[in-house]
Amino acid sequence: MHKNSRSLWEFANPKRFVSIANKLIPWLTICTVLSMSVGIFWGVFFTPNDYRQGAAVKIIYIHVPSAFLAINIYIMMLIASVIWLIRRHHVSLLAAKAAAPIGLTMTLVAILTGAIWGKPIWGTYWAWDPRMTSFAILLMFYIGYISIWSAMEYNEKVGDLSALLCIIGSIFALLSRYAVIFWNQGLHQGASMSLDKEENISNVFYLPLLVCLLGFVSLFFTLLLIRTRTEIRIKRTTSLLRMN
Amino acid sequence: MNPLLYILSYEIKASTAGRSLFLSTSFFIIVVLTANISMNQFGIRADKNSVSILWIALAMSALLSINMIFQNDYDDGTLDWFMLSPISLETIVILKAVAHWVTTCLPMMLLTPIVCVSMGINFNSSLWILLVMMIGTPAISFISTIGSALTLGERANHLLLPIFILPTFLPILVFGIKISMLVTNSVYDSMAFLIMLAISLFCIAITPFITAIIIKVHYT
Amino acid sequence: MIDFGKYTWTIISAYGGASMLIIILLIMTILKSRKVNKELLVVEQKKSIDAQDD
Repeated sequence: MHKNSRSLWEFANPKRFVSIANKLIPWLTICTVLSMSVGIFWGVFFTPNDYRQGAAVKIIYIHVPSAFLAINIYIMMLIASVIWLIRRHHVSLLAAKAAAPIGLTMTLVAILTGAIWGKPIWGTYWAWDPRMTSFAILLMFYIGYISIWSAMEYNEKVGDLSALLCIIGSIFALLSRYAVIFWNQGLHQGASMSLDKEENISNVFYLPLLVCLLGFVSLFFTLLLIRTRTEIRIKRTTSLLRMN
Repeated sequence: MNPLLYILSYEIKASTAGRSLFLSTSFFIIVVLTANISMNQFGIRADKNSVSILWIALAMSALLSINMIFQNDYDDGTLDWFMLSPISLETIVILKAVAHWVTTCLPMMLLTPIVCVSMGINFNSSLWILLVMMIGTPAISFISTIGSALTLGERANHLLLPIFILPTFLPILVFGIKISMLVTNSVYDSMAFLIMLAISLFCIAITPFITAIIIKVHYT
Repeated sequence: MIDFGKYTWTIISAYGGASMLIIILLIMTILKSRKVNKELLVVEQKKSIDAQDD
Protein backbone atom coordinates (compact mmCIF):
# COMPACT_ATOMS: atom_id res chain seq x y z
CA MET A 1 0.00 0.00 0.00
CA HIS A 2 1.15 3.54 -0.74
CA LYS A 3 2.46 5.55 2.15
CA ASN A 4 0.40 8.61 1.33
CA SER A 5 -2.72 6.85 0.15
CA ARG A 6 -5.65 7.56 2.41
CA SER A 7 -7.81 4.51 2.69
CA LEU A 8 -9.93 2.59 5.13
CA TRP A 9 -6.94 0.47 6.12
CA GLU A 10 -5.41 3.44 7.94
CA PHE A 11 -7.83 2.55 10.73
CA ALA A 12 -6.07 -0.80 10.97
CA ASN A 13 -3.15 0.85 12.72
CA PRO A 14 -4.19 0.91 16.42
CA LYS A 15 -2.32 4.16 17.16
CA ARG A 16 -3.82 5.92 14.15
CA PHE A 17 -7.23 4.53 15.08
CA VAL A 18 -7.04 5.91 18.63
CA SER A 19 -5.96 9.37 17.44
CA ILE A 20 -8.74 9.50 14.84
CA ALA A 21 -11.24 8.20 17.40
CA ASN A 22 -10.18 10.88 19.88
CA LYS A 23 -10.91 13.55 17.28
CA LEU A 24 -14.22 12.02 16.16
CA ILE A 25 -15.79 11.18 19.52
CA PRO A 26 -16.71 14.77 20.61
CA TRP A 27 -18.31 15.54 17.23
CA LEU A 28 -20.21 12.28 17.21
CA THR A 29 -21.42 12.91 20.75
CA ILE A 30 -22.76 16.34 19.75
CA CYS A 31 -24.41 14.81 16.67
CA THR A 32 -25.99 12.05 18.80
CA VAL A 33 -27.37 14.38 21.45
CA LEU A 34 -28.68 16.88 18.90
CA SER A 35 -30.34 14.48 16.50
CA MET A 36 -31.77 12.20 19.19
CA SER A 37 -33.31 15.03 21.18
CA VAL A 38 -34.60 16.81 18.07
CA GLY A 39 -35.93 13.58 16.54
CA ILE A 40 -37.65 12.34 19.68
CA PHE A 41 -39.14 15.74 20.60
CA TRP A 42 -40.35 16.25 17.07
CA GLY A 43 -41.75 12.75 16.91
CA VAL A 44 -43.40 12.68 20.30
CA PHE A 45 -44.84 16.19 20.58
CA PHE A 46 -45.22 17.53 17.04
CA THR A 47 -46.65 14.68 15.00
CA PRO A 48 -50.32 13.73 14.75
CA ASN A 49 -51.61 10.41 16.05
CA ASP A 50 -52.01 7.52 13.69
CA TYR A 51 -55.63 6.99 12.66
CA ARG A 52 -55.59 3.35 13.70
CA GLN A 53 -53.02 3.09 16.49
CA GLY A 54 -53.60 6.45 18.16
CA ALA A 55 -50.71 7.83 20.19
CA ALA A 56 -49.08 4.40 20.55
CA VAL A 57 -47.45 5.03 17.18
CA LYS A 58 -44.93 7.32 18.90
CA ILE A 59 -42.99 4.28 20.10
CA ILE A 60 -41.66 3.68 16.58
CA TYR A 61 -39.15 6.50 17.09
CA ILE A 62 -37.12 4.16 19.28
CA HIS A 63 -38.43 0.79 18.14
CA VAL A 64 -37.52 1.05 14.46
CA PRO A 65 -34.01 2.57 14.89
CA SER A 66 -33.05 0.05 17.59
CA ALA A 67 -34.32 -2.87 15.52
CA PHE A 68 -32.45 -1.49 12.50
CA LEU A 69 -29.25 -1.27 14.57
CA ALA A 70 -29.72 -4.70 16.16
CA ILE A 71 -29.63 -6.40 12.76
CA ASN A 72 -27.00 -4.18 11.18
CA ILE A 73 -24.59 -4.41 14.12
CA TYR A 74 -24.56 -8.18 13.66
CA ILE A 75 -23.79 -7.70 9.97
CA MET A 76 -21.04 -5.24 10.92
CA MET A 77 -19.59 -7.81 13.36
CA LEU A 78 -19.72 -10.42 10.61
CA ILE A 79 -17.82 -8.16 8.18
CA ALA A 80 -15.27 -7.20 10.85
CA SER A 81 -14.74 -10.89 11.71
CA VAL A 82 -14.18 -11.79 8.07
CA ILE A 83 -11.69 -8.91 7.72
CA TRP A 84 -9.87 -10.23 10.80
CA LEU A 85 -9.71 -13.76 9.39
CA ILE A 86 -8.38 -12.56 6.03
CA ARG A 87 -6.16 -9.56 6.82
CA ARG A 88 -5.37 -10.13 10.52
CA HIS A 89 -6.06 -6.54 11.62
CA HIS A 90 -6.47 -6.51 15.39
CA VAL A 91 -8.58 -3.34 15.33
CA SER A 92 -11.16 -5.12 13.19
CA LEU A 93 -11.44 -7.98 15.68
CA LEU A 94 -11.60 -5.61 18.64
CA ALA A 95 -14.30 -3.57 16.90
CA ALA A 96 -16.39 -6.73 16.51
CA LYS A 97 -15.82 -7.55 20.18
CA ALA A 98 -16.74 -4.00 21.20
CA ALA A 99 -19.88 -3.93 19.05
CA ALA A 100 -21.47 -7.08 20.49
CA PRO A 101 -22.76 -5.58 23.80
CA ILE A 102 -24.16 -2.59 21.91
CA GLY A 103 -25.99 -4.97 19.58
CA LEU A 104 -27.31 -6.93 22.54
CA THR A 105 -28.63 -3.76 24.17
CA MET A 106 -30.29 -2.64 20.93
CA THR A 107 -31.92 -6.07 20.53
CA LEU A 108 -33.25 -5.82 24.09
CA VAL A 109 -34.53 -2.28 23.45
CA ALA A 110 -36.27 -3.40 20.27
CA ILE A 111 -37.87 -6.39 22.00
CA LEU A 112 -38.90 -4.32 25.05
CA THR A 113 -40.47 -1.46 23.12
CA GLY A 114 -42.13 -3.89 20.73
CA ALA A 115 -43.63 -5.81 23.64
CA ILE A 116 -44.92 -2.66 25.33
CA TRP A 117 -46.37 -1.47 22.03
CA GLY A 118 -47.89 -4.87 21.28
CA LYS A 119 -49.94 -5.06 24.47
CA PRO A 120 -52.52 -2.34 23.61
CA ILE A 121 -52.38 -2.89 19.82
CA TRP A 122 -52.26 -6.66 19.42
CA GLY A 123 -53.54 -7.48 22.91
CA THR A 124 -50.42 -9.44 23.85
CA TYR A 125 -46.90 -8.65 24.98
CA TRP A 126 -45.35 -11.45 23.02
CA ALA A 127 -46.41 -13.67 20.16
CA TRP A 128 -44.18 -16.10 18.30
CA ASP A 129 -44.52 -14.15 15.10
CA PRO A 130 -41.57 -14.65 12.68
CA ARG A 131 -40.09 -11.21 13.13
CA MET A 132 -40.19 -11.43 16.93
CA THR A 133 -38.81 -14.94 16.74
CA SER A 134 -35.96 -13.63 14.58
CA PHE A 135 -35.12 -11.16 17.32
CA ALA A 136 -35.17 -13.90 19.93
CA ILE A 137 -32.79 -15.87 17.70
CA LEU A 138 -30.58 -12.81 17.24
CA LEU A 139 -30.52 -12.35 21.01
CA MET A 140 -29.29 -15.93 21.48
CA PHE A 141 -26.48 -15.52 18.97
CA TYR A 142 -25.38 -12.23 20.54
CA ILE A 143 -25.28 -13.96 23.93
CA GLY A 144 -23.27 -16.83 22.44
CA TYR A 145 -20.74 -14.45 20.88
CA ILE A 146 -20.34 -12.42 24.08
CA SER A 147 -20.03 -15.55 26.22
CA ILE A 148 -17.12 -16.92 24.21
CA TRP A 149 -15.25 -13.65 24.84
CA SER A 150 -16.14 -13.56 28.51
CA ALA A 151 -15.04 -17.15 29.09
CA MET A 152 -11.58 -16.89 27.58
CA GLU A 153 -8.54 -14.63 27.84
CA TYR A 154 -7.80 -12.38 24.89
CA ASN A 155 -5.42 -13.91 22.37
CA GLU A 156 -5.32 -14.53 18.65
CA LYS A 157 -6.71 -18.04 19.00
CA VAL A 158 -9.82 -16.85 20.82
CA GLY A 159 -10.10 -14.10 18.21
CA ASP A 160 -10.20 -16.72 15.45
CA LEU A 161 -12.71 -18.81 17.39
CA SER A 162 -15.02 -15.86 18.01
CA ALA A 163 -14.81 -14.76 14.37
CA LEU A 164 -15.68 -18.28 13.24
CA LEU A 165 -18.50 -18.40 15.78
CA CYS A 166 -19.85 -15.15 14.35
CA ILE A 167 -19.87 -16.62 10.83
CA ILE A 168 -21.43 -19.92 11.97
CA GLY A 169 -23.97 -17.97 14.00
CA SER A 170 -25.05 -15.92 11.02
CA ILE A 171 -25.51 -19.05 8.89
CA PHE A 172 -27.62 -20.78 11.52
CA ALA A 173 -29.53 -17.62 12.47
CA LEU A 174 -30.59 -17.23 8.82
CA LEU A 175 -31.50 -20.93 8.56
CA SER A 176 -33.57 -20.72 11.76
CA ARG A 177 -35.27 -17.56 10.56
CA TYR A 178 -36.40 -19.15 7.32
CA ALA A 179 -37.36 -22.37 9.10
CA VAL A 180 -39.67 -20.29 11.29
CA ILE A 181 -41.05 -18.33 8.33
CA PHE A 182 -41.80 -21.58 6.51
CA TRP A 183 -44.27 -22.60 9.21
CA ASN A 184 -45.62 -19.22 10.22
CA GLN A 185 -46.25 -16.33 7.89
CA GLY A 186 -46.78 -13.90 10.73
CA LEU A 187 -48.90 -10.91 11.70
CA HIS A 188 -46.39 -8.03 11.41
CA GLN A 189 -47.23 -5.23 9.04
CA GLY A 190 -45.05 -4.87 5.93
CA ALA A 191 -41.82 -2.93 5.94
CA SER A 192 -42.40 0.57 7.19
CA MET A 193 -39.40 2.27 5.67
CA SER A 194 -37.91 0.45 2.73
CA LEU A 195 -37.17 2.45 -0.38
CA ASP A 196 -38.74 0.21 -2.97
CA LYS A 197 -42.15 -0.39 -1.44
CA GLU A 198 -45.21 1.73 -1.93
CA GLU A 199 -46.83 1.08 1.41
CA ASN A 200 -44.33 3.26 3.28
CA ILE A 201 -45.53 5.29 6.19
CA SER A 202 -46.42 8.88 5.45
CA ASN A 203 -43.94 11.76 5.50
CA VAL A 204 -45.29 13.13 8.78
CA PHE A 205 -43.79 10.16 10.61
CA TYR A 206 -40.99 9.48 8.14
CA LEU A 207 -38.92 12.65 8.64
CA PRO A 208 -38.65 12.58 12.47
CA LEU A 209 -38.01 8.83 12.19
CA LEU A 210 -35.06 9.53 9.88
CA VAL A 211 -33.66 12.04 12.39
CA CYS A 212 -34.01 9.46 15.18
CA LEU A 213 -32.33 6.87 12.99
CA LEU A 214 -29.42 9.26 12.46
CA GLY A 215 -29.28 9.78 16.23
CA PHE A 216 -29.19 6.05 16.95
CA VAL A 217 -26.57 5.37 14.27
CA SER A 218 -24.32 8.12 15.63
CA LEU A 219 -24.91 6.80 19.16
CA PHE A 220 -23.73 3.43 17.91
CA PHE A 221 -20.62 4.90 16.31
CA THR A 222 -19.79 6.95 19.42
CA LEU A 223 -20.10 3.91 21.67
CA LEU A 224 -18.25 1.73 19.17
CA LEU A 225 -15.30 4.14 18.99
CA ILE A 226 -15.12 4.47 22.79
CA ARG A 227 -15.35 0.73 23.34
CA THR A 228 -12.85 -0.14 20.63
CA ARG A 229 -10.44 2.45 22.05
CA THR A 230 -10.89 0.79 25.46
CA GLU A 231 -10.17 -2.63 24.00
CA ILE A 232 -7.04 -1.33 22.26
CA ARG A 233 -5.83 0.15 25.53
CA ILE A 234 -6.48 -3.10 27.41
CA LYS A 235 -4.46 -4.95 24.80
CA ARG A 236 -1.64 -2.40 25.06
CA THR A 237 -1.63 -2.59 28.88
CA THR A 238 -1.41 -6.38 28.91
CA SER A 239 1.33 -6.43 26.29
CA LEU A 240 3.33 -3.80 28.23
CA LEU A 241 2.95 -5.85 31.42
CA ARG A 242 4.00 -9.00 29.62
CA MET A 243 7.22 -7.34 28.42
CA ASN A 244 8.42 -6.96 32.02
CA MET B 1 -8.18 -53.37 7.40
CA ASN B 2 -9.24 -50.15 5.80
CA PRO B 3 -7.83 -47.25 7.91
CA LEU B 4 -11.11 -45.34 7.78
CA LEU B 5 -13.05 -48.34 9.09
CA TYR B 6 -10.41 -48.85 11.74
CA ILE B 7 -10.72 -45.24 12.95
CA LEU B 8 -14.50 -45.52 12.94
CA SER B 9 -14.48 -48.67 15.05
CA TYR B 10 -11.86 -47.12 17.34
CA GLU B 11 -14.12 -44.08 17.84
CA ILE B 12 -17.19 -46.20 18.54
CA LYS B 13 -15.25 -48.36 20.99
CA ALA B 14 -13.83 -45.29 22.74
CA SER B 15 -17.23 -43.72 23.26
CA THR B 16 -18.91 -46.93 24.41
CA ALA B 17 -16.04 -47.65 26.80
CA GLY B 18 -16.36 -44.20 28.37
CA ARG B 19 -19.89 -44.91 29.63
CA SER B 20 -21.17 -41.86 27.72
CA LEU B 21 -23.47 -44.19 25.78
CA PHE B 22 -25.14 -45.37 28.97
CA LEU B 23 -25.26 -41.86 30.49
CA SER B 24 -26.77 -40.05 27.52
CA THR B 25 -29.38 -42.76 26.95
CA SER B 26 -30.41 -42.74 30.60
CA PHE B 27 -30.51 -38.94 30.57
CA PHE B 28 -32.90 -39.12 27.63
CA ILE B 29 -35.18 -41.57 29.41
CA ILE B 30 -35.09 -39.59 32.67
CA VAL B 31 -35.96 -36.27 30.98
CA VAL B 32 -38.86 -37.75 29.05
CA LEU B 33 -40.21 -39.63 32.07
CA THR B 34 -39.90 -36.64 34.41
CA ALA B 35 -41.69 -34.38 31.95
CA ASN B 36 -44.50 -36.89 31.37
CA ILE B 37 -45.03 -37.73 35.03
CA SER B 38 -45.03 -34.11 36.19
CA MET B 39 -47.39 -33.08 33.40
CA ASN B 40 -49.82 -35.84 34.31
CA GLN B 41 -49.93 -34.78 37.94
CA PHE B 42 -51.19 -31.35 36.90
CA GLY B 43 -53.98 -32.84 34.88
CA ILE B 44 -52.32 -32.11 31.57
CA ARG B 45 -52.37 -35.42 29.78
CA ALA B 46 -49.15 -36.03 27.89
CA ASP B 47 -50.51 -36.00 24.38
CA LYS B 48 -49.47 -35.80 20.77
CA ASN B 49 -48.10 -32.30 21.24
CA SER B 50 -45.68 -33.44 23.91
CA VAL B 51 -43.65 -35.05 21.15
CA SER B 52 -41.65 -31.80 21.37
CA ILE B 53 -40.34 -32.98 24.76
CA LEU B 54 -38.91 -35.96 22.95
CA TRP B 55 -36.94 -33.73 20.59
CA ILE B 56 -35.72 -31.37 23.28
CA ALA B 57 -34.63 -34.33 25.40
CA LEU B 58 -32.82 -35.74 22.39
CA ALA B 59 -30.99 -32.47 21.73
CA MET B 60 -30.04 -32.10 25.40
CA SER B 61 -28.70 -35.63 25.68
CA ALA B 62 -26.73 -35.16 22.49
CA LEU B 63 -25.24 -32.05 24.15
CA LEU B 64 -24.16 -34.10 27.18
CA SER B 65 -21.67 -36.12 25.21
CA ILE B 66 -20.53 -33.33 22.89
CA ASN B 67 -17.48 -32.20 24.80
CA MET B 68 -16.12 -35.75 24.71
CA ILE B 69 -15.91 -35.82 20.90
CA PHE B 70 -12.50 -34.16 20.68
CA GLN B 71 -11.50 -33.43 24.28
CA ASN B 72 -9.95 -36.81 25.13
CA ASP B 73 -8.12 -37.00 21.82
CA TYR B 74 -6.86 -33.47 22.34
CA ASP B 75 -5.61 -34.27 25.85
CA ASP B 76 -3.80 -37.51 25.05
CA GLY B 77 -2.36 -36.36 21.71
CA THR B 78 -4.39 -38.58 19.40
CA LEU B 79 -5.59 -35.44 17.65
CA ASP B 80 -1.96 -34.46 16.90
CA TRP B 81 -1.54 -37.84 15.28
CA PHE B 82 -4.71 -37.28 13.24
CA MET B 83 -3.37 -33.88 12.14
CA LEU B 84 -0.14 -35.48 10.90
CA SER B 85 -1.78 -38.49 9.26
CA PRO B 86 -2.35 -38.54 5.48
CA ILE B 87 -6.11 -38.76 6.05
CA SER B 88 -7.60 -35.28 5.82
CA LEU B 89 -8.97 -33.69 8.97
CA GLU B 90 -12.38 -33.30 7.35
CA THR B 91 -12.62 -37.08 6.94
CA ILE B 92 -11.71 -37.57 10.60
CA VAL B 93 -14.46 -35.12 11.57
CA ILE B 94 -17.00 -37.03 9.46
CA LEU B 95 -15.94 -40.31 11.09
CA LYS B 96 -16.21 -38.75 14.55
CA ALA B 97 -19.67 -37.39 13.80
CA VAL B 98 -20.81 -40.78 12.50
CA ALA B 99 -19.44 -42.43 15.65
CA HIS B 100 -21.23 -39.86 17.80
CA TRP B 101 -24.45 -40.53 15.92
CA VAL B 102 -24.14 -44.30 16.29
CA THR B 103 -23.37 -44.17 20.01
CA THR B 104 -25.65 -41.30 21.09
CA CYS B 105 -28.51 -40.69 18.69
CA LEU B 106 -29.15 -44.22 17.47
CA PRO B 107 -29.87 -45.76 20.91
CA MET B 108 -32.23 -42.91 21.73
CA MET B 109 -34.01 -43.32 18.42
CA LEU B 110 -34.46 -47.03 19.06
CA LEU B 111 -36.09 -46.16 22.38
CA THR B 112 -38.45 -43.67 20.74
CA PRO B 113 -41.28 -46.11 19.79
CA ILE B 114 -41.40 -47.35 23.40
CA VAL B 115 -41.40 -43.82 24.83
CA CYS B 116 -44.09 -42.78 22.34
CA VAL B 117 -46.45 -45.39 23.76
CA SER B 118 -46.29 -43.61 27.14
CA MET B 119 -47.44 -40.43 25.43
CA GLY B 120 -50.44 -42.05 23.82
CA ILE B 121 -49.00 -41.99 20.32
CA ASN B 122 -49.88 -45.02 18.23
CA PHE B 123 -47.19 -47.31 16.89
CA ASN B 124 -47.68 -46.31 13.27
CA SER B 125 -47.09 -42.62 14.02
CA SER B 126 -44.10 -43.45 16.18
CA LEU B 127 -42.47 -45.16 13.19
CA TRP B 128 -42.99 -41.94 11.20
CA ILE B 129 -41.43 -39.96 14.06
CA LEU B 130 -38.52 -42.37 13.90
CA LEU B 131 -38.13 -41.55 10.21
CA VAL B 132 -38.14 -37.80 10.95
CA MET B 133 -35.50 -38.36 13.61
CA MET B 134 -33.50 -40.40 11.14
CA ILE B 135 -33.43 -37.31 8.91
CA GLY B 136 -32.72 -34.82 11.69
CA THR B 137 -30.31 -36.46 14.12
CA PRO B 138 -27.30 -36.83 11.76
CA ALA B 139 -27.33 -33.05 11.39
CA ILE B 140 -27.40 -32.71 15.19
CA SER B 141 -24.36 -34.99 15.46
CA PHE B 142 -22.49 -33.08 12.78
CA ILE B 143 -23.29 -29.67 14.30
CA SER B 144 -22.14 -31.02 17.67
CA THR B 145 -18.62 -31.42 16.32
CA ILE B 146 -18.48 -27.62 15.81
CA GLY B 147 -19.24 -27.03 19.47
CA SER B 148 -16.79 -29.65 20.62
CA ALA B 149 -14.02 -28.13 18.51
CA LEU B 150 -14.81 -24.55 19.60
CA THR B 151 -14.33 -25.23 23.30
CA LEU B 152 -11.29 -27.53 23.09
CA GLY B 153 -9.05 -27.18 26.10
CA GLU B 154 -11.48 -24.91 27.93
CA ARG B 155 -12.11 -25.72 31.58
CA ALA B 156 -15.60 -24.22 31.63
CA ASN B 157 -16.66 -25.82 28.37
CA HIS B 158 -19.58 -27.81 29.76
CA LEU B 159 -21.21 -24.48 30.66
CA LEU B 160 -20.10 -22.61 27.57
CA LEU B 161 -21.11 -25.23 25.03
CA PRO B 162 -24.92 -25.28 25.32
CA ILE B 163 -25.03 -21.49 25.10
CA PHE B 164 -23.92 -21.43 21.51
CA ILE B 165 -24.71 -24.94 20.35
CA LEU B 166 -28.38 -25.25 21.32
CA PRO B 167 -29.42 -22.27 19.14
CA THR B 168 -27.71 -23.88 16.13
CA PHE B 169 -30.00 -26.90 16.54
CA LEU B 170 -32.99 -24.61 15.97
CA PRO B 171 -33.62 -25.21 12.25
CA ILE B 172 -33.61 -28.97 12.76
CA LEU B 173 -35.72 -28.75 15.92
CA VAL B 174 -38.29 -26.40 14.36
CA PHE B 175 -38.83 -28.74 11.44
CA GLY B 176 -38.50 -31.97 13.40
CA ILE B 177 -41.03 -31.01 16.05
CA LYS B 178 -43.55 -29.54 13.62
CA ILE B 179 -43.40 -32.53 11.27
CA SER B 180 -43.64 -34.98 14.17
CA MET B 181 -46.70 -33.16 15.49
CA LEU B 182 -48.33 -33.21 12.06
CA VAL B 183 -47.51 -36.89 11.69
CA THR B 184 -49.22 -37.77 14.98
CA ASN B 185 -52.28 -35.98 13.63
CA SER B 186 -52.00 -38.04 10.41
CA VAL B 187 -50.92 -35.12 8.24
CA TYR B 188 -48.03 -35.99 5.93
CA ASP B 189 -46.43 -32.88 4.43
CA SER B 190 -43.95 -34.19 1.88
CA MET B 191 -42.71 -30.66 1.08
CA ALA B 192 -41.69 -30.17 4.71
CA PHE B 193 -39.96 -33.55 4.72
CA LEU B 194 -37.91 -32.58 1.69
CA ILE B 195 -36.98 -29.18 3.11
CA MET B 196 -35.92 -30.76 6.38
CA LEU B 197 -33.83 -33.26 4.44
CA ALA B 198 -32.26 -30.33 2.57
CA ILE B 199 -31.42 -28.47 5.78
CA SER B 200 -29.99 -31.63 7.30
CA LEU B 201 -27.85 -32.35 4.24
CA PHE B 202 -26.70 -28.72 4.12
CA CYS B 203 -25.53 -28.92 7.76
CA ILE B 204 -23.80 -32.24 7.09
CA ALA B 205 -22.09 -30.77 4.02
CA ILE B 206 -20.67 -27.64 5.62
CA THR B 207 -19.83 -28.71 9.18
CA PRO B 208 -16.80 -30.97 8.51
CA PHE B 209 -15.01 -28.07 6.80
CA ILE B 210 -15.90 -25.58 9.57
CA THR B 211 -14.85 -28.02 12.30
CA ALA B 212 -11.56 -28.78 10.53
CA ILE B 213 -10.80 -25.04 10.30
CA ILE B 214 -11.56 -24.61 14.01
CA ILE B 215 -9.31 -27.51 15.00
CA LYS B 216 -6.49 -26.09 12.87
CA VAL B 217 -6.91 -22.79 14.77
CA HIS B 218 -6.10 -24.66 17.99
CA TYR B 219 -2.85 -25.94 16.51
CA THR B 220 -1.43 -22.68 15.15
CA MET C 1 -48.01 18.24 29.93
CA ILE C 2 -47.34 14.67 28.91
CA ASP C 3 -50.75 13.31 28.04
CA PHE C 4 -51.44 10.80 25.30
CA GLY C 5 -54.82 9.62 26.45
CA LYS C 6 -55.00 5.93 27.20
CA TYR C 7 -51.51 5.36 25.78
CA THR C 8 -49.70 7.67 28.24
CA TRP C 9 -48.25 4.86 30.35
CA THR C 10 -47.45 2.75 27.33
CA ILE C 11 -45.33 5.51 25.87
CA ILE C 12 -43.71 6.52 29.15
CA SER C 13 -42.77 2.94 30.04
CA ALA C 14 -41.41 2.24 26.55
CA TYR C 15 -39.26 5.37 26.53
CA GLY C 16 -38.26 4.89 30.17
CA GLY C 17 -37.26 1.26 29.70
CA ALA C 18 -35.36 1.92 26.49
CA SER C 19 -33.48 4.91 27.90
CA MET C 20 -32.63 2.93 31.05
CA LEU C 21 -31.08 0.11 29.01
CA ILE C 22 -29.13 2.54 26.85
CA ILE C 23 -27.96 4.56 29.86
CA ILE C 24 -26.73 1.39 31.60
CA LEU C 25 -24.69 0.56 28.48
CA LEU C 26 -23.41 4.14 28.32
CA ILE C 27 -22.35 4.22 31.98
CA MET C 28 -20.64 0.84 31.74
CA THR C 29 -18.80 1.94 28.60
CA ILE C 30 -17.59 5.20 30.14
CA LEU C 31 -16.58 3.66 33.49
CA LYS C 32 -14.61 0.90 31.80
CA SER C 33 -12.97 3.39 29.46
CA ARG C 34 -11.84 5.56 32.39
CA LYS C 35 -10.58 2.62 34.42
CA VAL C 36 -8.59 1.20 31.53
CA ASN C 37 -7.19 4.60 30.65
CA LYS C 38 -5.90 5.07 34.20
CA GLU C 39 -4.32 1.61 34.24
CA LEU C 40 -2.59 2.25 30.94
CA LEU C 41 -1.22 5.59 32.18
CA VAL C 42 0.17 3.94 35.34
CA VAL C 43 1.81 1.16 33.35
CA GLU C 44 3.28 3.58 30.82
CA GLN C 45 4.71 5.81 33.57
CA LYS C 46 6.27 2.81 35.25
CA LYS C 47 7.73 1.84 31.89
CA SER C 48 9.32 5.24 31.35
CA ILE C 49 10.76 5.29 34.91
CA ASP C 50 12.23 1.85 34.33
CA ALA C 51 13.73 3.06 31.07
CA GLN C 52 15.34 6.05 32.82
CA ASP C 53 16.84 3.77 35.48
CA ASP C 54 18.44 1.68 32.78
